[in-house]
Amino acid sequence: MDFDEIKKTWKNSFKDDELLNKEEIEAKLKIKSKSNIALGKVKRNYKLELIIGIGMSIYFIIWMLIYISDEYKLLLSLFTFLFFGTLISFTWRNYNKVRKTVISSDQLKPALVKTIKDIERYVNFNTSTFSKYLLLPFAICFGMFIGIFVGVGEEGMNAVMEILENRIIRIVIILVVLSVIFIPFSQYMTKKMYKQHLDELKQCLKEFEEFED
Amino acid sequence: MSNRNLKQEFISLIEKHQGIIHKVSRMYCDKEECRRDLFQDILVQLWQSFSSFNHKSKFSTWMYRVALNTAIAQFRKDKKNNEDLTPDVPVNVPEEESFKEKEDRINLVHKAINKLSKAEKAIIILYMDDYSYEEISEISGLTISNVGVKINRIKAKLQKILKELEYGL
Repeated sequence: MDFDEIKKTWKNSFKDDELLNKEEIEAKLKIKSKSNIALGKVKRNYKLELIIGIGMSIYFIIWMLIYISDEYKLLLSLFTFLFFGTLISFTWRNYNKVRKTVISSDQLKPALVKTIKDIERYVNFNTSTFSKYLLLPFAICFGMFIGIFVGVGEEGMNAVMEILENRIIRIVIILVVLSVIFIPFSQYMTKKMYKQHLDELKQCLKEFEEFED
Repeated sequence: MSNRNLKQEFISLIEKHQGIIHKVSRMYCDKEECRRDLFQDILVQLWQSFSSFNHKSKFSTWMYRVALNTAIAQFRKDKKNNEDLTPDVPVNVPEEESFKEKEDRINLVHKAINKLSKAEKAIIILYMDDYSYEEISEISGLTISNVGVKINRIKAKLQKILKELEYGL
């Protein structure tokens, strides 16, 4: 098949009855569908992380104000607020950078560079040393601490301190084990969700660069 | 211009140039569901970017850029199926050939196109849609001479793939 024939066949494969009228186009614009492009997915994930973070912080603070004894409730609420506040502010900062971003109308190569940068920002944050070795273990510590507090009930901070003193080795071991499980798991999930797609986009960019050689 | 008027202008332009979205969706998706999703994504992205359209370039050129950028950035859910596909492509073919033959030929061409990379698809779709080298250069960002060289390579590659598919190599 010569190329003119290929072109003719390709052109003939489009049917006029597929064309939409104005009303149909307007109706499609009103549909709130889930975007399948990378940027849309990143935006959705940031939003989800923000909603979960804000929801959890509100839940924990209310729980502490109700159940923790007066002596410690302020301190622990502040601690919780700072922890979630840091987490939420990092997420918000990153989300803010992409939330108004739309697919570029730039030429293909610069647009691709921009898309890669936006996705990398998300992936890099989740795979950063800060996130891996500080945020995640800290979140586990926080969870354990809250767990101990729930466990001691009315006995208060002295009982918590007693547990920490007597079972510190066990607590450290649990922390290490949980970190060893959750750090690779979170990295695997991030890579599974984005790495492959990112590699595809980088390959595409490489091709555009090779076109210029 | 009010938002209502802007939207009406946009819809009129899309109605006139919607073939571009259909072609890009078909070029990057072999399955009907994927095509429908991509069509929707492109339409939404075009509307969200419409305020940035400065009327300096032709609307169709701007539209092709946004459409191709969206298609390149999409997640491919049906990647595994791409290797062995018979696209569910509606056909519209000249009358002198038998329906089956024409359908087979169209499916073969789409199957061959589907084997090209995302970057190659972006260049060849513009060429097949009769865009000049200058316009392809303006959309892709490649130099005119590189466009010429690349198109010749892609044409040769496409013909080779077709030959392999035809003879079951």
